[in-house]
Amino acid sequence: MSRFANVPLEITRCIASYLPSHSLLELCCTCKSLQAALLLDLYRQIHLSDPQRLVFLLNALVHSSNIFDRRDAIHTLILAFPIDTLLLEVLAVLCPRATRFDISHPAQHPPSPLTSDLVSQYRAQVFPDRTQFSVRPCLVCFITSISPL
Amino acid sequence: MSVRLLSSDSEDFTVAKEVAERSMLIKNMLEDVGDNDNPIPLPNVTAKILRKVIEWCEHHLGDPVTNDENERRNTEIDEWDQKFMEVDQETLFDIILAANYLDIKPLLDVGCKTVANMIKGKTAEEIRKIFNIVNDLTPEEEAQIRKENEWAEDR
Repeated sequence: MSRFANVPLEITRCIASYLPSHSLLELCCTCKSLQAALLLDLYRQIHLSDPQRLVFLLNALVHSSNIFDRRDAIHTLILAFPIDTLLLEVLAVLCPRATRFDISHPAQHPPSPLTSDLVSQYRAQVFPDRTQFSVRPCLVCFITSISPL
Repeated sequence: MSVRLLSSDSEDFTVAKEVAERSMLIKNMLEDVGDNDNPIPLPNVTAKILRKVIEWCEHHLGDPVTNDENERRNTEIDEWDQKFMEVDQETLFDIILAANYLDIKPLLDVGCKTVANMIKGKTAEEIRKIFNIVNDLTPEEEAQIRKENEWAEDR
């Protein structure tokens, strides 16, 4: 019998709270009960340093099963790269319960895979009734001084 | 002043009141019953584990109480605690459960951090081996979870 899989949920979640997200994902992949218990914890605080990961996250929030649970689970989103306002608006809809968006603007960042075409596709899915902008909007860069959690 | 504690297997421990009061459960019980010489029964904790817990409480007697969330979230474990937690997995989980039951938050945190450190950087298969977890996910289900959460990155 596995002691780990049988400790009370509050303890499992306390252990999970000390894990970086990739390790938490590996833990979720070990068995059904841990997946059910911890998958939404993975979404509570999301920290991304690579725009490609944001593409994966957007795909997950737009297409996966139980997307509404996942969307509601997100309360902090930290991006270590700039995004534009069109995409920020998409994220605001996809993370309705987020209380903190922290978007930094480093001196150097790699070219983003989030091209205007890709952003338009997400916007068409999230805002199906709106006419799409043809003009590229300004870059969002909040230099935040909020202390980390 | 000292307090008597009775383990689940009926071993009687006498400890200093301030050591016992690291446990919020015991602290509240002492406030409720006032001064009396009867041992406090701890039906969820064996003598073996209670001895470890008392050892931890005695060592950390002078620790300042921290409510600072950042400090609590810090995953570093001090050297003495690392040594203290070098026990078999069964004992480790028993200590964690005892800390939870006795409501000793800092000990619970150290225990949970120790388990988290055993998981960090490991693959699902390695984690299953370490903790003897039976995989009841089909390869398709596992692949699906990975696919949907491809965004998760280690920092």
